[in-house]
Amino acid sequence: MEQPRTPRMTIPTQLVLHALLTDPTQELYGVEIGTAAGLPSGTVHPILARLETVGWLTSRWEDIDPRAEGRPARRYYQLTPDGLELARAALARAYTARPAWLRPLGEES
Amino acid sequence: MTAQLGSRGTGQAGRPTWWASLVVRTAALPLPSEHRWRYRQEFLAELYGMTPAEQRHHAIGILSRIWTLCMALTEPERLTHKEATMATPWLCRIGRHRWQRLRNPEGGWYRECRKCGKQRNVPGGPPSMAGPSAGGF
Repeated sequence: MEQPRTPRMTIPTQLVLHALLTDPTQELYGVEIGTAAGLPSGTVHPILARLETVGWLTSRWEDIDPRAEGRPARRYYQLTPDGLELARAALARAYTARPAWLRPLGEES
Repeated sequence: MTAQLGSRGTGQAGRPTWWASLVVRTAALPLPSEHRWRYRQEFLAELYGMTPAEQRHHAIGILSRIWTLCMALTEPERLTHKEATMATPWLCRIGRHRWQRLRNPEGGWYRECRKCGKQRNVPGGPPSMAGPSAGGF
């Protein structure tokens, strides 16, 4: 089956993308993304899974020695080059698609 | 909301409490077998460095939304259907279109929504005044 290319642009999805776009070169793990996006626990992972399914995100295990660090490796997420462009475009579309009464005064449709 | 989560993951790395560990391990059980181990490890790793209160909040949050994650992993086709629904602006879905008056190649008038492209005849006009798609939809 062909994979969907664009995830649903819900408000939480937009917040996650905003958090990842703040510094696209930086890898973040789930809790960091949730904190940056201001989303409660459990909300972020389904969004990350959908974004990973459509190829906007890539993830990898942290490269550490768990014994030395005293904790297991975390799963880090980063936007792919394609995902970076598509996310920026999707957020721009989401912004312009706001109803007129939500836009700042004086802004034309 | 960010403020209350702001200290997460930034404290001293410590082992999670047994019950938070148990909750996230249990939460991963409904996930598809090919994803279960990965998310179990991911959830456990995220508990390290949190205070017990943050661990409780985090574990309960994960447990309460595990079916959403399960659906995101198992039903991409359902996602596609939802995307198709979401592609229509929500104001259009409740019938609040933003109509603009346009002229078809025959010179007749019709209305088209600026947001979703839905077409309608001009009220009171004859059927021949439909849009360029021969009657629209």
